[in-house]
Amino acid sequence: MSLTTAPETTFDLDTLSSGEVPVLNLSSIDAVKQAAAQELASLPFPTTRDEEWRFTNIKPIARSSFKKARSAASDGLTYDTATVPEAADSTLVFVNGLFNESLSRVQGLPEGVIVTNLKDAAIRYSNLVEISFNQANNFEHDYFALLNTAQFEDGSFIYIPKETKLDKTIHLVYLTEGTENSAAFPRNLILADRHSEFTVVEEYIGSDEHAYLTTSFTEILLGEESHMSHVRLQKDGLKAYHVNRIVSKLQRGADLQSYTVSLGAEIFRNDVRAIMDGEGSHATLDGLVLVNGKQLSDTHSIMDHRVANCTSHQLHKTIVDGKATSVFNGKIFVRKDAQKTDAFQENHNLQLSRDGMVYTKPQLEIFADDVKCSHGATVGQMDLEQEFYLKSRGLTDAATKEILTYGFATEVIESLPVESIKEDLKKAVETYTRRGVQNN
Amino acid sequence: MLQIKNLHASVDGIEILKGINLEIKAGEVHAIMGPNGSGKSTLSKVVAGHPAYEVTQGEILFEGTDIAELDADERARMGIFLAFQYPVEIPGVSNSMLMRQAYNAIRREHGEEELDPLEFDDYVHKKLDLVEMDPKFLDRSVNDGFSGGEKKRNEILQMAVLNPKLALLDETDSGLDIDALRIVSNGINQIKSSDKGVMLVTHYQRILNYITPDYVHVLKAGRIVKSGGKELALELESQGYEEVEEIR
Repeated sequence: MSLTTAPETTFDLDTLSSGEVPVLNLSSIDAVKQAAAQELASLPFPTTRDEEWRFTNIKPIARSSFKKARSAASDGLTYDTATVPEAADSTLVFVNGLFNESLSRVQGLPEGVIVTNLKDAAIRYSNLVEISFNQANNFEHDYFALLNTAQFEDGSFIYIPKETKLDKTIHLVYLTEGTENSAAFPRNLILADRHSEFTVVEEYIGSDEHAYLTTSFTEILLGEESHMSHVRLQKDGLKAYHVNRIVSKLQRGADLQSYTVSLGAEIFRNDVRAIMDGEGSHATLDGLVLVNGKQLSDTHSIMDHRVANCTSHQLHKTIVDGKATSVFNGKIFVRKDAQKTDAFQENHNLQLSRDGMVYTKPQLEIFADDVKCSHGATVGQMDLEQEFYLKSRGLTDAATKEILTYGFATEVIESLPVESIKEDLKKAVETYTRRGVQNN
Repeated sequence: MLQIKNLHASVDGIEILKGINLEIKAGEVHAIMGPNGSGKSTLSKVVAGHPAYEVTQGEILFEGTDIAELDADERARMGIFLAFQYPVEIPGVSNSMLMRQAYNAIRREHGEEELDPLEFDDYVHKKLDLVEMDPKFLDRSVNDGFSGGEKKRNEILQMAVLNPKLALLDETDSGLDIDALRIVSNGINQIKSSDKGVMLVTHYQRILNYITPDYVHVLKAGRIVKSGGKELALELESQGYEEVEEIR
């Protein structure tokens, strides 16, 4: 009798980095990077046998050998900061994970506000970077968090001083330009001092032509009574792989309104976490996912209520068309000291095709006794009465599907804090639904 | 305009309409009355093309074409409009967006130029007065959070915008207070004309104080059991549906 076992799926780290760990030239952080690289070397690549990856097969990522893009050149690549007028002179642009100064515009920021690339910040604001880097990170033994930590070369650094209210939107743009199997590891660090108020849009854009990998990681530290509006737009090319980690840590009375909208990538995995570490803090982590074709989109979230009197809100909406797959796993932890927690979670999935797959799993772990937690999940097709209503007005099947999809998505889009992004997304939703209507 | 011949229709295998014969000519208003469960609403839904109802026998001719097998949207673009008894809420889709798309779909069908959002805005504003509606309703999601009366007025607004040849009004009067009833009836009266047919489905006589029918039909257990002029409605009001004799 012989047993054959499939060879272990591994990620080609050698091609990626030739065993090298890029440095930031800040010793404490370079030590963290080295430690991450060491752990990574002995960590198996996640497979569907891991509970956290049960429905998300990322073998295609391991099968390709990715190489870091070596230049931030922008030959033929343009980015017009006027696309988002709210951020016309408060935009950082990265190309293939590397900072592109010539495409960036940050001259319009008030004194004290820092918006720059992390590499620059590590030199000019080393104290700020040192005291905050990796402080919110609670991804332990997580392959992609470690991969980013070890391999990142640059990313965005934002610091908002105390009692500063920023009217402008800070726009972080990550472009991937076309080389086959390029990899980028943007690492972002956002720091808000007490009583500050600001808006950040993170946007990831790439073309449909090539396969590429983005492994991003954003850490957010919100000081007392600070307010952050955050939009994360994932508009990667349809052959792209994108694995993202984002974690926010909130001090007393801090308020985070975060919206993630995901349209692109062949495989997208998004782990979103909010840690309510100070009393009276609030986190909103809303999401909108539109997938079609063979796309796979997976959102794993954690709302971590550590202390009393905090609230959280999560509305996650997904539209699945074609043979696409959507995964949602929403955890709410209410720790034993987190009395008077008020947590709300809803996941709604609209399935437009027979071949699409939807997996949804709310997960509540409550160790306090005086809390209010609600959660709900729905998976459904278009509502027949709504469909008949629209058709009775003369709209064709295609137009009906389009308008109902649009309506479903708009609930999340309407909450976004930046007007031009809203309009842009409404158009993107229209394009998505047209594409779906044509394919079916 | 509309000829219904020996129409039988079922839902989930249960026969609701059991041989309806009815003709509505241009310019006429027909009131369909009857007790609950008699098939009044079913009749209007079947004519509009609700997919849950199956026509098992008979014909529905609209301007000479048998429409029984056509989809609801095709019928709508031919000029049939159903004002719903329970207008459906569509969150995230604005009233003006729906009406503009529907209006343009109908214009396209007739080989006419579509109106752009600005042109449509002008057009729809003129219709708002008919139902005394505030322009802010145009930007709100379709029927979302509307009161019962607002929903019914919105149906009539849509009807005014789409300008159908045949209007099917399914219990448009139900749930309306006296002011809303007056507003809705006024709207209908202003829209109706010599080239339009109206089928007014109602349980109560009171809307007929505002909209004068040319004919009144009584539906019972899926059949029209009595037809007459407008005086029949008053008769029904005083005697109740129980007293209506079968005419077969």
